Amino acid sequence: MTETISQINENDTSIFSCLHCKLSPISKATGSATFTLNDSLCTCLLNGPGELRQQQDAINRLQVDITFQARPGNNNTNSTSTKDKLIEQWLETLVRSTVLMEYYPRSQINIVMYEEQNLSGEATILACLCNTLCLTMLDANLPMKYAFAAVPIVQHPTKGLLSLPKTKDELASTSYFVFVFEITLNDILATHASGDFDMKILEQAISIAQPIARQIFQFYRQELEKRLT
Amino acid sequence: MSIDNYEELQKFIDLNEHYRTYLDEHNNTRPDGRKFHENRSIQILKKFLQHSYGSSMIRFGNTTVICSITGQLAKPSLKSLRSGFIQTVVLLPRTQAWSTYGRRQQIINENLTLSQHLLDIIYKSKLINLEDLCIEEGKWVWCLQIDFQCLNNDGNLFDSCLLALNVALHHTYFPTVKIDPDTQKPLVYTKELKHFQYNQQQEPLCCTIAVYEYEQEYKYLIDPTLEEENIAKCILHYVLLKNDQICLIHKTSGAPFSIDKFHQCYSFAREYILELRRKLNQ
Repeated sequence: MTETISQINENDTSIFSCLHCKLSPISKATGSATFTLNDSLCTCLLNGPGELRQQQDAINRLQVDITFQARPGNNNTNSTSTKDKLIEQWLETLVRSTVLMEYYPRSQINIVMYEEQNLSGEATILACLCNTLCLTMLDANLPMKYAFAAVPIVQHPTKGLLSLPKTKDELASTSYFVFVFEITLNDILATHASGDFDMKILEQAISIAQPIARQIFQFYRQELEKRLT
Repeated sequence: MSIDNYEELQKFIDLNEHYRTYLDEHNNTRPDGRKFHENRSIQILKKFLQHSYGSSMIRFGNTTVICSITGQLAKPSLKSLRSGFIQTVVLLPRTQAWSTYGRRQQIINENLTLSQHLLDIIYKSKLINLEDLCIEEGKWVWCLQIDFQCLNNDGNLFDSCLLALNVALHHTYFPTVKIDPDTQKPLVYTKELKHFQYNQQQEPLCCTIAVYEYEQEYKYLIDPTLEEENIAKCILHYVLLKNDQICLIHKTSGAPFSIDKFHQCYSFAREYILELRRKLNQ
């Protein structure tokens, strides 16, 4: 089985057809955003620095409370499944490292994320959630160290490494990578990679993902400019 | 928790500061005496629970984990008539929370994330094939229940749980089940035990690396203790299979990485896991 990197002869406009975004769909919240990545749709809302409950401990920094609500109906119970908890914890580390926590002592922010539609596997929904989170924090004007963007990449058995995969490709793929890049140096902030691969494939995946992350940052800029004009 | 001497008082007030002053005085060693790339002493105990089909106990220094595997008979789901079920549950007792606030939530979070990680690894590395758990297609399958009881949490639960799983699976014996042709009920022969068939080729083992920032550069602490996990900027989990293929890379946010840092951590992970495999095969 030969593995080749799929030729990406994309110009700027073609990746923008996979992304859609709507800022402040929920007017009551401090910040909110809806983001679409291929076939996955997520909404996130943030309630800005407010009062802290008595029992929680936040000595001189911000307390972050994230809740992730998956699409109800897939599992029979109402409570969060373990998979959702894993996603929640991972996103919490992302928020903790991005927001300047020392600016808001003894306060807390509440973030609620809803997965509204997910037709493909795990990579697209994870990336969609990260991007929604970043847009929400930008919409809420929280002071952040950097903006971040997540890129999903899958390893298809015949087509090789594909970025921003379509649903059909993703369901047929064996391994997936989700890289979260930050805007200043385009370094990798967080990763979740699962499957069966080695370091060479990881390197190829990172080199494919970096230019796409830059385009996603450009997309953020465009959306925020639209809002401010 | 005793606060007798100055060192313990400093640890209680600001763990980060304590770590930094220790690294300033002693170069290249951590407060428990290890170098950055050294792991703690590992002790393995096999087959010591009488009621479960397979069991093991692993100690990584002070971290103690017991893995116990049992099975129950179940009807397969209509979606796939030949597959059994696997459930991994990690139980961390409530007394093991390291801070007083938010104790219950923190325990629940840690348990659930670890359970999910382990289940993901079992499926992705094809360690246990669900078809192997089938007794009779469409009628009876095994529901494998894998419990991890963490007796003492001193950091690095992921590695210990995965190693415990490998050791326990190696010595798991299932009773034979035959279907009675008259009543169609399963007959379980508990004395006729046979070795559990699983994919012994893959031996997923994990290496946890805590990244600590000291003097503008990253120090990679392998096999972190609980304190090191708390002060770390970010935590990396590398799960490698027997042929050095990577099964899972999970990196939490905190320290931006470039590609060469991933390579560096991979080489650390490879050496560490090689030593774990040697221990496993003894």
